Amino acid sequence: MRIMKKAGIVIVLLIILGLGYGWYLYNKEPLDVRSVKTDIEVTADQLLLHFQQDENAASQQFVSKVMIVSGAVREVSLEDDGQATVWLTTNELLYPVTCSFYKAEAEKVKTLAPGDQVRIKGVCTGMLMGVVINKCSLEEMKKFVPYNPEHR
Amino acid sequence: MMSKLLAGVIALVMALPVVAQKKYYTKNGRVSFQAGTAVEDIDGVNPAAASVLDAATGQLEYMVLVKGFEFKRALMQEHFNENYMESDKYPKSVFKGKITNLSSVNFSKDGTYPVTVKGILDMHGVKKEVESKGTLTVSGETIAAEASLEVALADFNIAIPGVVSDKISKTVKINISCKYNVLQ
Repeated sequence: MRIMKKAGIVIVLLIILGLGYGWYLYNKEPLDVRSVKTDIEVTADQLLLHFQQDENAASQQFVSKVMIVSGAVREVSLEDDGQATVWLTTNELLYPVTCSFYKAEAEKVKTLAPGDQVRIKGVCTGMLMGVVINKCSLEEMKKFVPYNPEHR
Repeated sequence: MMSKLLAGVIALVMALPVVAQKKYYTKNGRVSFQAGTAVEDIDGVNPAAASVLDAATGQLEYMVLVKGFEFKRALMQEHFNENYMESDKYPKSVFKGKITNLSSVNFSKDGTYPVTVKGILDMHGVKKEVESKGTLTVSGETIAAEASLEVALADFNIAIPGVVSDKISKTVKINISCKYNVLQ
């Protein structure tokens, strides 16, 4: 009788644990890319070249991976709903790298201007009109200072 | 005589850009969808859709990377990519179509114009004709586009397992919102 009682308690506990784990899995939020460390780092130029040479191979190598892409800012777009996008210059005018930012990063993106050197962390999702990086955050930024001979 | 002809040609060439209808593009269009039911809300957002719009012909192309859809829950994203859209096999969804009432849009006059777009949606390896209603808002050199359409998952060979059939809607509402710039 005692054993039955103990077994009953164990079973109930296991069910509660199982349900709890299920609930946890169900509600788990997507990975916060900002907190992920990565060893993959490429320049915007290199990244485009990989995709242009062999899109399948480049997809295997980069898509769904957290990575850092570096380069010069070509254009910045800030939408009313907080969506911020930065385009990085590549060798090809029509194919810049599109970096779509977390909404919480919009304040930092506001400080960027064309020509600034940046390192942006995000997840590569593939190539459309240029390579696309989602869930971006700003890792590093160096302001572009135009050359002015009078300040020599 | 020659100089008159030359002047005429120059005048014509200079007038061309005004006459020629422009092409517009965006690389950060927003595509979202709602596939939930009263039991559960399921929605995904893609902030980086690419699109080209040709004002002369009314042709419209829209492309999204399936892996670029973002969700509130990790599990939804996983199921969306692995079980339903099979994004490794079909990484892109493409719509190619035409504005059917192009004559009622004046691209050189600011204003909001209702449009109907008809074309082929290529999704999950299936090509099917779809129709969408929306608006184009012309303001100077930019055009804001808003549109929505409903697609039946079964039409695109997307099967919903019985266990979750009360959570996932059989038709999905897709919303499109983007700002086009002139392609230079």
